[in-house]
Amino acid sequence: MSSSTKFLTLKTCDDKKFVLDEAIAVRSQTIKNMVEDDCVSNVIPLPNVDSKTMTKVIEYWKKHSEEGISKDMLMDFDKAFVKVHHSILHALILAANFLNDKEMLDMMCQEVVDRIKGKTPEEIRKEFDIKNDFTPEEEEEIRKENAWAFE
Amino acid sequence: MKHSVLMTIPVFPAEIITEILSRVPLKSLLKFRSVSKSWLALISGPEFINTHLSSVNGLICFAIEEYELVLWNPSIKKYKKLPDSKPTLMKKDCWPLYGFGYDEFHDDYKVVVKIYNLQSDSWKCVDECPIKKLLNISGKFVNGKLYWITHGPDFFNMYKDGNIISISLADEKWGKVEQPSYGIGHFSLSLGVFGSDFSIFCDNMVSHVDVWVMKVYGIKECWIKMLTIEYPDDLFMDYDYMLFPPSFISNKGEILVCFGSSKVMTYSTSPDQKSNIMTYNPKDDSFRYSKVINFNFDGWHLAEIYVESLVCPLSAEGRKNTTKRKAGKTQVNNN
Repeated sequence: MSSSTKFLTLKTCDDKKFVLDEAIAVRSQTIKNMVEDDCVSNVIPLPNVDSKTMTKVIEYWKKHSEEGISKDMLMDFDKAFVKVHHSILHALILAANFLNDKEMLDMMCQEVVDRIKGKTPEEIRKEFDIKNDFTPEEEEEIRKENAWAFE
Repeated sequence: MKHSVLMTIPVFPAEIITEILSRVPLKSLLKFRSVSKSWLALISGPEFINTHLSSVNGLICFAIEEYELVLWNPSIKKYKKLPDSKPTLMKKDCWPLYGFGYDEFHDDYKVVVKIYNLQSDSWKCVDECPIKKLLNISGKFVNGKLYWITHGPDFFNMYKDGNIISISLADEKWGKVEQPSYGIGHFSLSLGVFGSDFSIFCDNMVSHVDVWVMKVYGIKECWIKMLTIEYPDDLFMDYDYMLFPPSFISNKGEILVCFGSSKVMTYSTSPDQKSNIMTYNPKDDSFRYSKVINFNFDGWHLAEIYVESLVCPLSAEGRKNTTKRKAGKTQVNNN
């Protein structure tokens, strides 16, 4: 083992292993806490994250850890990074939440907001896979209370 | 295992839904109340409403013809006419003073004229205001207290040796605020909020404005002269300018200021007239003019900072229920 660079092995829920520079992996507050509390043995299990999602997360971490990268370049990267199918976006949010990476979570949540803010309740239900549990009368009643918002 | 199916939409826990919805503009939020019962509960819940709170909590209180008071939340387009205060107010032979604020301790909104209480929907007498000669009718609300400036003895320099009085909304006690030493000469004072601190704008009416900010260390109040704003060169014309401070400070450190004129009403407004509202950047001592649309510069003399909120002025009842629910966590279930 080199004295300057330490590596961590992360194992996703589908049993794929990722070997990563510790300095990059500690962008995750969850991993950082584990490292600081000395409870890292060989492999860190990530039971809530699958390998496809983790690949994206690591891509993001590596880019944001690059030395000498300009703000503009990062902004362009971020812009492209969030342009994914909403099922992937949602998986990334859950991963960022579990890994406790506030910066990434903020960015992804903002992307969701930008996508949903003009949508109708019906479209929102589809986007989030939510069942409408109101009776038609109840729904009408709630809509009436703030009818102007639907104009 | 279903995680291999790409098109499965993962279900978010409540904390993430809250995180997302707290960034959604208010109008969309009101629409989203009809998505599902759990979303409705979340958006109406106290934790959620609190994430949208501001210092005035999105409510505006204004008076029509001095005695008719209205509580209004323009973001959700609801208003409430306050119970008639005329009989109580008319008994006094002085003109009414107004102040509106939020009593965090009792989770209630209070209008000081006499004190109006939203939870019991009634007016109530507070101890007599100690000083009658007030210079500003409308009080400034900061950190649980309302503040007013009072008249000094010198008619020609009326801010000199005047007082700043306060009332604490939680215990309804009056107090007097020790003031900084402004220096010599004529000046005009106005009260503001700087960041989250109570502040005084001291305008020497010739060249500059000092911004004093009150910091509280332990129980001792202490004044710090935060900065001096020189009048912008191109603004100074042949009539007197004064500064009205909504004194909002942005997260970039810029300060919103308004320059107005006491004689502006005698001048016709030309379409190319620059706005009186501008942001001041203390770092390089520069002004940036803000474009204001749908605004007539004739005869305006009050400006307030407003941040939108979901707080409903109508229902003391609804608010009590949400207060009760504070004990248990709002449950959100997406299915």
